[in-house]
Amino acid sequence: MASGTTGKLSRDELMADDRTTVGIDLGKLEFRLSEVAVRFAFGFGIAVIAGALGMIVGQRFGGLFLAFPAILPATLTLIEKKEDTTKAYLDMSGGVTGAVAMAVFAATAWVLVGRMAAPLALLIALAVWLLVAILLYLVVRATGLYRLQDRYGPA
Amino acid sequence: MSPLLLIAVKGVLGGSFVVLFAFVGETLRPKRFAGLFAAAPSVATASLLISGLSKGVPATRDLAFGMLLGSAGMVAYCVAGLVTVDRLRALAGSVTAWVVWLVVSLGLYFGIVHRG
Repeated sequence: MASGTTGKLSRDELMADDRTTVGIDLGKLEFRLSEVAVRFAFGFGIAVIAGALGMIVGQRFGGLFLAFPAILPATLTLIEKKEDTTKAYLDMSGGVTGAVAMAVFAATAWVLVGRMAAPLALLIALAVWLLVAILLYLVVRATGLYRLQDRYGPA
Repeated sequence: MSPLLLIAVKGVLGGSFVVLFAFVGETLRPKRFAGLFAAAPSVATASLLISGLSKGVPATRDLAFGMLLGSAGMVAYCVAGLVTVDRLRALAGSVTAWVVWLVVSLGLYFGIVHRG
């Protein structure tokens, strides 16, 4: 595949990401109070909005907003500022996979709440989310679907 | 506990979970793998937990059902965001894609929950 850019994305970076071994880099962890504050504020805000809408309109309507992408614009902007647009795109791409797993989380919680204590039901739902997200990522990556998405998706 | 206090507790816990999941996501590589945590159910876990402990099963199940519909919107949002982030860059691209979430999630809500 030729190197260069697609739109605002770097094809080389896209390819490199799919060749990088999955792992943890604790050295990448940075604590910046401003970023923590922004993330906390967005999380607080959307939780309050969902709760208020649940109270006023109904719980099902409020529940919609538990899956509203409130934090993503801030996250992607921070990534683009620290790194570049390609990295922000890659984060969004991972978000597609995570969002499918999020639906599985919601379905699991819907099934389990009422059959067991809420904390246990949610712990199981969270474990299911993590497992589904990771497995889905590995399958999509191994089958080359991410490369297909990158090639035909962006301009 | 008063309803307003409950909402405030959901807010504090939700905000804390967002920060926690963000920290985890920052340590992961590659970037696409770390992006899984961009769609982590952080706020949802907090809200469902508080609801489960305070409001009981029917309300919490309704909340989870609503979230399921919203998740479909989230998938559509992220897919649309792949195009808009490339064309408009991160902030404008990710905010523009909110329209997709609204159309899909509200469409499903009014089509399923309010049908007949």
